[in-house]
Amino acid sequence: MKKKINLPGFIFKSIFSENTTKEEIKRQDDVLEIEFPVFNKSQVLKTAQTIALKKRRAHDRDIDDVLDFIDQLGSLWRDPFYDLRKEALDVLPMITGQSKKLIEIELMATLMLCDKKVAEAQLLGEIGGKKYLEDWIPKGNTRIHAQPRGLVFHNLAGNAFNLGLLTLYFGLITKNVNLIKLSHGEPYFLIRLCESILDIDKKIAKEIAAIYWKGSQVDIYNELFNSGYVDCVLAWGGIQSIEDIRKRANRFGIKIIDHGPKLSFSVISDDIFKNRDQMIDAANKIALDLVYWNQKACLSPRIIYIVEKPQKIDIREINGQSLQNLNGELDDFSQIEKLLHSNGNDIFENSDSNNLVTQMQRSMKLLKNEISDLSTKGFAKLLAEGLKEADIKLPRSHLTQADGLQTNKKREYFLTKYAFKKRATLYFPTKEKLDWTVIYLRDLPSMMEVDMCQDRFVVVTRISNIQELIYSIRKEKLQQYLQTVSIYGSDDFVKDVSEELSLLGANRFPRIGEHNIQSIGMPWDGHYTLQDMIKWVYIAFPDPKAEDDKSGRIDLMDGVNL
Amino acid sequence: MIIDKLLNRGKELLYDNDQSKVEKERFNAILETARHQFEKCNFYRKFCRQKNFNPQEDIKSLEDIDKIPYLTTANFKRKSGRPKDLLCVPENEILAWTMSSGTSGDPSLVGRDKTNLDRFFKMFEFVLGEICSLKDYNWSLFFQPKPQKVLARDEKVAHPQNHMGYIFNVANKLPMEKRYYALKFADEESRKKGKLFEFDEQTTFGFLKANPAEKGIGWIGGAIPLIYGTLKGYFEKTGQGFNVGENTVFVSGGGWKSFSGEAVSPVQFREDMTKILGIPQQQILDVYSFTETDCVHAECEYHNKHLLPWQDIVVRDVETLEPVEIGEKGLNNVINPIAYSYAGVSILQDDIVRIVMEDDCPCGRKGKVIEVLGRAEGAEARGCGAQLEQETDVE
Repeated sequence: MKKKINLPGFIFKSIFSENTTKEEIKRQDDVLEIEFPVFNKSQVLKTAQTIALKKRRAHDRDIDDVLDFIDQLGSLWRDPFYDLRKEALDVLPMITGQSKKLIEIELMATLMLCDKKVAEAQLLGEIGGKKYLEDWIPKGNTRIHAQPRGLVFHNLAGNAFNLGLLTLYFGLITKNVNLIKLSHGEPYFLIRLCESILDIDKKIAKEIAAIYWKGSQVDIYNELFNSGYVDCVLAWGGIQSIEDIRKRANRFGIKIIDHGPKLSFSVISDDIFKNRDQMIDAANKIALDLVYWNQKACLSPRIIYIVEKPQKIDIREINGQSLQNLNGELDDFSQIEKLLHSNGNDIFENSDSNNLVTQMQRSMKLLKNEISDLSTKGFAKLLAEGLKEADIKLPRSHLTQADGLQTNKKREYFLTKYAFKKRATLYFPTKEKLDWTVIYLRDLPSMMEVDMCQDRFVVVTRISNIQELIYSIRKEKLQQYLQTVSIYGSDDFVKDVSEELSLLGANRFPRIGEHNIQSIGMPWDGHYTLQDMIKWVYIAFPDPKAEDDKSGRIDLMDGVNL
Repeated sequence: MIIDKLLNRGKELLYDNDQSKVEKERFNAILETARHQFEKCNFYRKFCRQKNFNPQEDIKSLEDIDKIPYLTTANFKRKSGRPKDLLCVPENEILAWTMSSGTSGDPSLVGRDKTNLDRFFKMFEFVLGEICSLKDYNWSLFFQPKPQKVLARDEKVAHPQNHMGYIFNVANKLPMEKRYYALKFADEESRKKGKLFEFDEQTTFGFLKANPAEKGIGWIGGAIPLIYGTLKGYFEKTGQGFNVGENTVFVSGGGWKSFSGEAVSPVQFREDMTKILGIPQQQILDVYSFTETDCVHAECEYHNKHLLPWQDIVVRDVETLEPVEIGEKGLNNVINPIAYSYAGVSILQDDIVRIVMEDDCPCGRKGKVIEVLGRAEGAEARGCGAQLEQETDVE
């Protein structure tokens, strides 16, 4: 299939331009060519200037009208017969590499936000209610009001197609006007969304522009931030892009809300090994967490850490033989025992130390576990089974020419660096198909290895306790990236892990299998974005009709007789 | 080894009408090389074992060569790979380490010993003489940096060399005074800015203007972007072409994929070079190869890229990495029986190719002809769930 799309920019309406760029996406024999306009500095500045003039109008709009509009937008896109939705479901699998079915699920999930009641609940959860956007609401002896920031500049990333909808939704329900810079990787969906906004409400459409310019044109950013039109920046993307935007916007004192790269993972307590059915259930749930967004979203788990005691160090020390060599030769538990009693010295009998014996027995237990299914390795196997099933239910779309090779290189990396030394086992589909990969890793992964875990590629590893995980996160300098950590275990375990990892930087702790479920009104990224997109202002005295209660304030004049 | 015998009979094999016999000999050479690397390279042996592959048992005919475990070029990367682990001979026997020019910032590094280099240059001489019809030449103009000295193939070189520069230096039969180079060391100011070489306008255009045709047949070579950019630029600016002689042969070493300016098609390139240099199009030939192999796919006068009689290729599906049918495009898995000092018998490269014909080239040379379609495409989006570490790549 060869499909060509000539995409407009959107400045209050669709705008085509002679100055365009072409992006060709090849997935097997399917080719998608997207041609879209590239705007220059003067066009960007003029657009910002025009939108800035609409700030007052957006502010004055009744919040219920905004929410009704959001509701309409959601209804339109939920309609399976809506033309733009039908087209998007054909085009997005090509852009993202995900299957149509998966795109549809992700789209529908994101569209749940576009419901009046949900949006109201979101405002209630984050800022206390829509009323604060409308009026001066009494609070104590003051009246407070949530004012929009004004013109929000959104710098988009291309890793998830729903970001455009999400970012615009934040802007609209806080009564801001919005200038959005599209990502080169995914310039499509937001434009179609804007076209449908134009169909619903031309006035709101006049408060939105979604355009593309080359990210390397730093002078556009500089002049845009220096122009005085931009009041707030909402930045999505990689660390370099975020840092660059932050540096430029800070120079002009502009408020920055950043959604930079994040790391999410799962932590599982050793309770999981009590019951094989529980393990299967957990593996299946995690498999689903992994397939959504092809594991490219910030909330997608990349690593599965499983608490598994005890330590294995003793055998290595006592037997004088490397466990890594030893482990590869073991076929059954009897061989372990044979090894421990090797060289005519029965370790248990000859050892004077009861502690040593205990540790040895625990080590044996560990090795026994490793060759049984009730172990971290066993869980990795079950996760592979789970992914196999999930991949049938929600397959990814065609890979690009480079995706398959990249997955192969990642497997080769773990194979040669770890599996050669018996420190990893790789699980993947038969005939080495590239759809998904589970790595059982005996070592904790480095930052580079964590980065490899995308596109249905996951590492399952063992930790002896949470402190070991914390040590590893600190060692790899991952604190600043922590976001969602799903937890399996007793409630005490959940609270312990949440406490420790939140002190380290993580902020969201769902159950396993619920990485993609969002509690309305709660931040998924540690940010109360709606809070950030408004300014709290207040009149420092109550309504004249109300009683002037002077308690609860600091009065410098109190008791002073001038 | 069998490959050495085949290298000595290259011409005979290339035109042999009984290609089934050649295939058999090729298979034996590949098998022997695979076994040699399995035995001598610990890393490759472990790799094969992980893939449940034993060259003693698992390859029975030429149809089985796709079973030989392939390594990706990532293993050869200087920083992130393990090029020394890929050696099949003791490190002190390596005469030359050559490295790719690479755009990723982490070049590939390949070590070749005397046996490997002897084979390589025998093969290269064969390519120039029998495929590109460039047997004797009196001068050369390479769009490369000028080397410090002429290198002999059995000379041990102390530091890693640029692969293409090294090959062109050693393969060139001429003394230094008959060699012309279009790049010189950049001045100090430019070097401070990270630019090592710069175009030597005076030498290049000075030589080309001095009627090189009078000196006899020449060999012009180098990477396409620099050649095209400089010569086309000069021609557009001055309207002047050059006379390098109608028997001069243009053998370029690719570089299409790093062309950063406006892309040029091979057809357009040849038309323009004919106009600018006066060489017939059938003598403007492209050679496709890469650092991590000893295989060269050279164009004949019909601009078909031939596989040499001893080398083979498996084209692999980009999604499954399974072999595809003849005519279908896929990733390039080069089968290289020449590799002796490093585990390079089967290398998966990130170029998309397809086999376009077999034994049917009008030039009369037998064997497979491939088309190189460019690098595998597919830039991944970077965003909130994307790379934590900048520039992280397994390559």
